[in-house]
Amino acid sequence: MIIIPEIFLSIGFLLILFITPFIKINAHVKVGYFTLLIIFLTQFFVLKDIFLFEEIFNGFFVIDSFGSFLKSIILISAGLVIYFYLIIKNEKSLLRPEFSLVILISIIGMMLMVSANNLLSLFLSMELQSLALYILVSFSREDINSSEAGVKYFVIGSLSTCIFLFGSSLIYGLVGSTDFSNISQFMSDQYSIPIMLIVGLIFILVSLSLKISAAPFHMWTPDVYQGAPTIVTTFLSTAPKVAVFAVLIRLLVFPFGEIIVDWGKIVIILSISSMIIGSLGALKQTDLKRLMAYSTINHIGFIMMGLVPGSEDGITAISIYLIFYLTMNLGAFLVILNMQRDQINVTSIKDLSGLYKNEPILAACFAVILFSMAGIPPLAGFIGKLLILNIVIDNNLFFLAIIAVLTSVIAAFYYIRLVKSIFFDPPVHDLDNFSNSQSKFLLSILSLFNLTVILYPQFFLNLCASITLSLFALK
Amino acid sequence: MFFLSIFLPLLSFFICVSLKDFFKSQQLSFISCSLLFMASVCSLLSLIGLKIEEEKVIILGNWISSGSLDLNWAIQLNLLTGSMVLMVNFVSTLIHIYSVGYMNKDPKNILFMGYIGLFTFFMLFLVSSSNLVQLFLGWEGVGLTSYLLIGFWNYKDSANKAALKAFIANRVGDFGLLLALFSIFIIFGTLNINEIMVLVNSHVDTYFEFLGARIHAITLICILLFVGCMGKSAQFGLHVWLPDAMEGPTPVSALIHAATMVTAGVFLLIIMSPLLEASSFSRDFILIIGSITCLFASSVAIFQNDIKRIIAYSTCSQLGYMFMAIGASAYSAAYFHLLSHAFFKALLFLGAGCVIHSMSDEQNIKKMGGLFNKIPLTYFTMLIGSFSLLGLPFFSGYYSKDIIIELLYLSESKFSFYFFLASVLGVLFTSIYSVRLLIYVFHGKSNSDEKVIAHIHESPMIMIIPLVILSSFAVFFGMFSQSFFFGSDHLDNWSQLMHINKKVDEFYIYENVPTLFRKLPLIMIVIGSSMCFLLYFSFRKSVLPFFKVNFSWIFSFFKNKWYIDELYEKLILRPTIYLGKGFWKSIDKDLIDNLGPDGISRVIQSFSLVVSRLQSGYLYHYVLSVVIGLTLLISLYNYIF
Repeated sequence: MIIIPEIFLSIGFLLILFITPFIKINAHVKVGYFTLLIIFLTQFFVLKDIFLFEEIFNGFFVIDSFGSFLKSIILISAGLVIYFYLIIKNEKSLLRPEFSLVILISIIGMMLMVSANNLLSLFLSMELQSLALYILVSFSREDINSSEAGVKYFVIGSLSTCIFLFGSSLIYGLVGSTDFSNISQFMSDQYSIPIMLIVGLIFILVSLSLKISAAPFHMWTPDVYQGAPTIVTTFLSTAPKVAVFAVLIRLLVFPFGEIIVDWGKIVIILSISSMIIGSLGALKQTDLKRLMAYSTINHIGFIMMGLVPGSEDGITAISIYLIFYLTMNLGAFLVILNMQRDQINVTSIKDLSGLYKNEPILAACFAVILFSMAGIPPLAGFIGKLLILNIVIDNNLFFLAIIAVLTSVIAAFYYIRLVKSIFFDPPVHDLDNFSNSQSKFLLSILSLFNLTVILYPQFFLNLCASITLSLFALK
Repeated sequence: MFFLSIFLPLLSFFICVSLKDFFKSQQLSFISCSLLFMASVCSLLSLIGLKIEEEKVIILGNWISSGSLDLNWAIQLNLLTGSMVLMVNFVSTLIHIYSVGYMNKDPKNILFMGYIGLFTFFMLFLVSSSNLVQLFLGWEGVGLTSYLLIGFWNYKDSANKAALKAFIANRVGDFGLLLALFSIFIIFGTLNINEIMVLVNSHVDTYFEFLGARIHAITLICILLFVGCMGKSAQFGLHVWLPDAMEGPTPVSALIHAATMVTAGVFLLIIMSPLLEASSFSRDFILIIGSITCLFASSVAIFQNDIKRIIAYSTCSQLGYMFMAIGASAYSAAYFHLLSHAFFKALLFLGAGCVIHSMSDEQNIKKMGGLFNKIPLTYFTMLIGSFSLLGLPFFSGYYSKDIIIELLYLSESKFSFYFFLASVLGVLFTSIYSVRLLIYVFHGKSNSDEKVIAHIHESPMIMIIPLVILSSFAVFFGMFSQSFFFGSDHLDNWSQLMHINKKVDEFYIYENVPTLFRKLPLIMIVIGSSMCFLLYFSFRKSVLPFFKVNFSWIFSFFKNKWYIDELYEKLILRPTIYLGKGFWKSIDKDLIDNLGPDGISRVIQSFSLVVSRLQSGYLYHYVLSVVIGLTLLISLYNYIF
């Protein structure tokens, strides 16, 4: 069986679920470490099969290096989130063993999503991860904000599911199959593409845009990001985005590759509106988590630009950007997670002011990550932006490049405003000390990565290029 | 060896600036002085080791290589650059030593030493460069350090203003020099000095076409070069900064504004002499400006009361002599005067520094007097310096200045006789202001407070020794090196390096200049001095007040420096400031800022407010937005794409 990682994860999940009731003391910590162990072992299974290519379960799933690579990235980011959960001081409502387990379920869903090769299997796996995420968002049951966010996320998510199903049914009605390769076959046989097919694709695109919060389907993002517990927001802004992007790439490039002219325009619209909304919306925010939500929207818009040409280079750039985006986001959220006053997590921008005086090294690391997000050379964010812009310009989409650069300038403003408030504003109320040395260590590693990636960009370029190659081997 | 003589001052700068917190100031002063001393020894040795007519180019690396423009970092050693480097290093060493005493009580004295070191480096770099761009770098570098040093006492408002004035006036000249470089590159296609010299003859008949006018290219280049020199060498028109530059510490005035930097213009024209020879118009132009400067500065100097300003105007007028020599094609004479002037003028400035030092920072000569027996050594050295400046026989100024005056008589220009008369008149003025200065400062009754008088003392040895060394040069330099610049063998020495005027020869002059004219400068000195003696000793009570009352307009005209500063303020400064304010307020602030950065940011802010307001928090709004987005995309696709 090729699908060993997922099976291993599932068995591990069941096993932990089984032993959880018997752990009396500190159950959430022990379960968390078990989960980490399982994720760590799964990583081996994923990497072992990274060069395999096989369609399994009658073409329901496909195993290829692209998928395996993204799976490994998802595992790493999920593992880091669970590690964050273990090392920081959480609120009481989060201290339950189920937390890690639910994350584990959603990882299983994401991994299946990444290798889905059929609209049906895609739908099922997407539902699996979404359901887990709904639970996570409303995890602090006592907290009214968390519950509100959970409801919003659930309703919007159900809407997305509806739209996805409607789109799939349209496509099924035309093609007579939900299999990606059959859809692809259908496309190449047709003389002219029926408009209903494209409408169906638009439905699916909208549904996926809801998942990655591309504008104008972003409305839920700030509210959910703010309302959800910070550790959940961290998870929400990292792993699921990677998974959905994997789906987008696989879906658009492979079965719908024939009608690239049609969906290209839609992706352009989505990306432009995301970049504009992401940069403009964040300017007036006073809450860091809301700000990060808009920052995510902006980044998503930027990444979507790489999809427009549907070429190998574009997908390579997307993969690299995703990796860098994860490191930046995890770093930023690690700081937000550690911002506590009287044991309570605070997320206002004002609370950051004067951080430099108390925690100079930490402030410097955070500044590096913020600069990287703003795309200041020579940090990682700059390299990612450079690669994507390169692709865009190579395909003569100059207006897109200009909009991207302009919105990046606006976005740079709010990142740098944070830096200014960290370094130059007088501290209002001191935060609790960032006593936690593990998160300091992790943060410095993340910022060091952002700082030094300029020295070995070729490594990532080669890695991602060879990974993407497998995607195009299918054709 | 030559390399060291140029880069040791730079090392001194770095040591002084970077280590000033770690070592005592005495140690650093010692290091800095000894580095400069080593640089002088190196330059002396490299000059001795140099054969006449030999030329060495030391290439340090490639600088710019772009198309046909190919420039190297290179230093060039030949008789001209070698002797100039030796002079600069020598004077700079003496002034370093002098400054140790002079700046003793200043808290920033090490920084001062560092700046002087940096200045010396840039000056040497300018002198020794083999291409014009590198020369320009040194040119700007000395301008920068001059700015830093004039404004060294930056707590004084006047020092800051003077520094700015110097910088801006120099920028005008630098602009001319830059244009000259551009046109040289257009005409000759190279900026290497030696290559230009080779190519001059093939471009004698090249013309620029500009707005329908045909301009002789080489004349244009020469005029532009001279505009650059006018700025740096304070010629009439751009001279305004030099008197004000005396706000800087006195060693700075001695080094930068007397001996070295201000002569950079003369030096530049000397090395570009073959170009000047191809354009008689530009030489006439230089003659006119030079003679005006000479007369102007020496006449104004008579009516000044600040001891340093008098010497500054004297410098200005002596530079006028040098440029007149260049205009008369007597380049070697100009160079000779440059060197001898460097010695006696540095001597005069340092002597003035000693006087100021002993008078508790008093600079007004009317408040001095009767100092000759209280500070005898300073008096003696000042006397030597003044005699040399006057050109009394057998002092070095006599050899260098008189030959310029005689050559002016012989020059090819149509108005040579008038230029000759102007120069002789300049000698008269020079003698008047020099003797006046000596009388006011050292003779007569003391006019200062008792406190100051009680405090009068001879300067420390470390300041006197440079004076003594310089005065020996002021006496003997002309006598011993005269034959090297004039006479039969000067042709062999200099013919490779500059244009040589065959008239620069004692016998030729002896035969062609009437005896009366040859003795005229001396007669003028006698007349001027005796006038001074009569005015300030015998008729002090009767004649001087009479003149002051009845011819007050003459007094105020000269005292206010021909109203040049006021003229500039009315004609250039006020309109510029008015225009600048207009542009700043109405165009930049109201138009560009308002529509540009501020306007855009305001628009973005209002948009961001809209985006934030859309975020109502109601779930049904969100769902509606999804539905709207979906339908919008589908309809967009169906009807537009």
